Amino acid sequence: MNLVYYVSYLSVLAIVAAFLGPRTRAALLLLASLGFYGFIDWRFPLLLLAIIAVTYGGGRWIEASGPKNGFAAWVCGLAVFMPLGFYKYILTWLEALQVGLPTSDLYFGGYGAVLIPVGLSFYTFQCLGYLIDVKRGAYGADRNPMRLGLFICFFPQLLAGPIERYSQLAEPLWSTKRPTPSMAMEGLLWIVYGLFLKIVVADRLAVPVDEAFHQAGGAGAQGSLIAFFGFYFQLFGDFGGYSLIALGAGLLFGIRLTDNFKQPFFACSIVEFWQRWHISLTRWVGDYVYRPVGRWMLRHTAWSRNIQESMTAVITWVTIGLWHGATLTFLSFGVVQAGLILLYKSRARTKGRVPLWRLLAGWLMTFVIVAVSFGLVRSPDMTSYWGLLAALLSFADGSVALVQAWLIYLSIAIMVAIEGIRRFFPVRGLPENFAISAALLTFGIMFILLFGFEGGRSFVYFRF
Amino acid sequence: MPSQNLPSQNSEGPANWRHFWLALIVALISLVVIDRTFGWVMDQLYEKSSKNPIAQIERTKPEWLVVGSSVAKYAVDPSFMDIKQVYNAGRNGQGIYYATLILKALPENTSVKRVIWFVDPGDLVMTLKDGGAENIRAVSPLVTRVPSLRKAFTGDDVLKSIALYSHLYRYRELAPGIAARWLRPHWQETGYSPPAFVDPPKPQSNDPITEDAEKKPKASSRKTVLQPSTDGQDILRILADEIKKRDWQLVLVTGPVLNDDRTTKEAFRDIYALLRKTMRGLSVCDLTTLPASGFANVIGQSDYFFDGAHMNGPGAKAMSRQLSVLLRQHCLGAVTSEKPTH
Repeated sequence: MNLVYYVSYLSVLAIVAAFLGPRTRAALLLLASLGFYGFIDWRFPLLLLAIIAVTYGGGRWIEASGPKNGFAAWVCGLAVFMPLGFYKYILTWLEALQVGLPTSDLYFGGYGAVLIPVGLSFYTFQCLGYLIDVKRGAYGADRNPMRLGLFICFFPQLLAGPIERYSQLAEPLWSTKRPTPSMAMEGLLWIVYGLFLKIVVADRLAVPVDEAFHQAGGAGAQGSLIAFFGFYFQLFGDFGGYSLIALGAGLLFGIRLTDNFKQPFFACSIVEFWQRWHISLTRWVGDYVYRPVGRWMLRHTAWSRNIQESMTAVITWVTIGLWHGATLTFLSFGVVQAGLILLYKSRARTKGRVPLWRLLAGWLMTFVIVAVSFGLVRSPDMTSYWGLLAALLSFADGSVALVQAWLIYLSIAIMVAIEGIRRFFPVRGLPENFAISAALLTFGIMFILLFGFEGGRSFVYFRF
Repeated sequence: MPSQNLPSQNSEGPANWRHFWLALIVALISLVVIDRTFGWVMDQLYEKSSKNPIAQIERTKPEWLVVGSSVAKYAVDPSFMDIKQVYNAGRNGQGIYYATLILKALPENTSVKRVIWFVDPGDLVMTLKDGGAENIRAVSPLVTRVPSLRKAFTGDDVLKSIALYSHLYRYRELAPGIAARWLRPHWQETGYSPPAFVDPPKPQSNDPITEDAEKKPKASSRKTVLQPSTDGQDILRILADEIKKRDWQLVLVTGPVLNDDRTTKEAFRDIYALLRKTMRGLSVCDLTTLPASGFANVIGQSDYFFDGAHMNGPGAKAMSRQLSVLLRQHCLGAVTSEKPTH
């Protein structure tokens, strides 16, 4: 998907929407979202509409089933999950089945082909969250299929999240208030910053990172460093960039989506990191997997508290790992994260002031551990991952060419500096200051035009 | 957009829509002004920077100009040719679009009279959509001077063709290098520079030396005879028109490849036929039709290559000497040729 087309589409829609009444605007957004999805593959909206229909009908059935709604909830949940399960797990194992099915024909660089319709994991989780909440009685089933449909397919967050909650997004979307000028300005600032992260940082880094993973240790310790740390920065630039573009796009329609990343580079522990990385997914899994599993453990097992906590963490993180895909690398990623979190919790001091050196050591360890463990997300298989790790630990010879290395370092430095300012010196009220905001927009666009990477690829998380 | 038409109920005090649109308009105007100013400065620097291939060529005032990809770049060292005033403008990834752009961008009063083109027939099979002209970005400031080649840069992308009007975009990634080479020019007297590495380079997706081998049609691995693409035919016509307009002599050479085999030429049979047909009536000296023995003492020597397609220093020396001999035997004195001269 060409980002410039996306931004043009978004701009036209935002301007048209500003002149319409609430209902017409909501209808326009619904149509525009389906059209946007159909632009990638005309069959995708059909799949999406089917999932919306099942979710709508399922919600009504669960509500009508009264207190004994467990069976209805399971049936509906499985029905909603079926396409994701089929594409993400069955098709992965039985690739021969893919002929004739709508699949994402997007360019992911070194990731190769992708079978899954783009965004399926994200909106499936939104639908599941809605059904679970209806089952729990958190709110009633939506009687308006258009409102539910718009919540599920709102295009800024359709392809790669954030995974929103019905209670927070459906009504604001349906009765969309027009954005205030400062909201619109904030939206533009996020979009430009997101474009910078994607086009300048992530796409440029993707080339050496792909090469490093392709060589799988053959590029020596330097190649492994690029693979691990380069991919960490690339993934933030890519996914964080997408999330900020989504946040900005939402603001142009008067909607504030979840900020999915809160300066994860500066986390001083693995727990803090996961409170700052892909926040909407970790919250979703926390609400719909971690807590229910934890409660179940408490009620139905006689294990010690430590074992219960460990089992809950492992199940939760394996779920997150498998959400990414049905491969051993993703499973290992989940297990490693669970292990790291449990290890941290067993060692962490919870009381008293933490000395600065400990914070710094924690930050450094977190940074390194996260970067190395994220290699599992990117590695094509475990052999490649072990190859990279072995090359790093043995200081093996070899290298991966960093074309225009100075530009890579400069763009990472700018990204880290901006994230540092956002973390430690947050500027309040910037969007209200139109003069400074306009200057930042000008500078940002100028920088992207001058240093953006030609030959970009689709957002990494579209493939999940 | 008239700001009064926009809703006012959500306006936040002084931060109203009028100011919002005013700020955006000022930002847009600033962007245009910065773009134009930057472009003007960069245009001046580019004219005098050694990054500009035209400036490099015009500075040495050559009569012979070598164009072609890295194969040509590493194969011809003009200092070993007994023909004087030769400049090797071959560069990594310089396909036919890139080479034609260089030729078309040369000034009217250029000293160049003969062009030695190291033909890569794979160039004519690839379409623009396949990335046939992707390396042309290295000389994007020249693209705007040659309207007939804008499409090679933009492809069918409307937005890209609009973006090309932006000087910031045109000098994207190139500006620092141009400025550096303006401050400290690196003039190449013959255009040739020996390979900086001794070992064969490892395949890398972004390495222009190896990417040709990765992306271009591998004739020897296919049994079928490859056909020229429509884009390939178009660019060949543009090149032929330029040669004719300038009244240049065109020397066609097949790039030296270690142990070049006949199957490759057989697969590209139709491409070479088109090449000769398009160039008919021009002053052409076609060395591609020579028996393999023409360069046999060069292409059979593995010591002359640092990989299968790129020559090292001794290889360039041998190739340049052999090329001199062949040029003297077959091309010097030959003018307009209905049939290839050999």
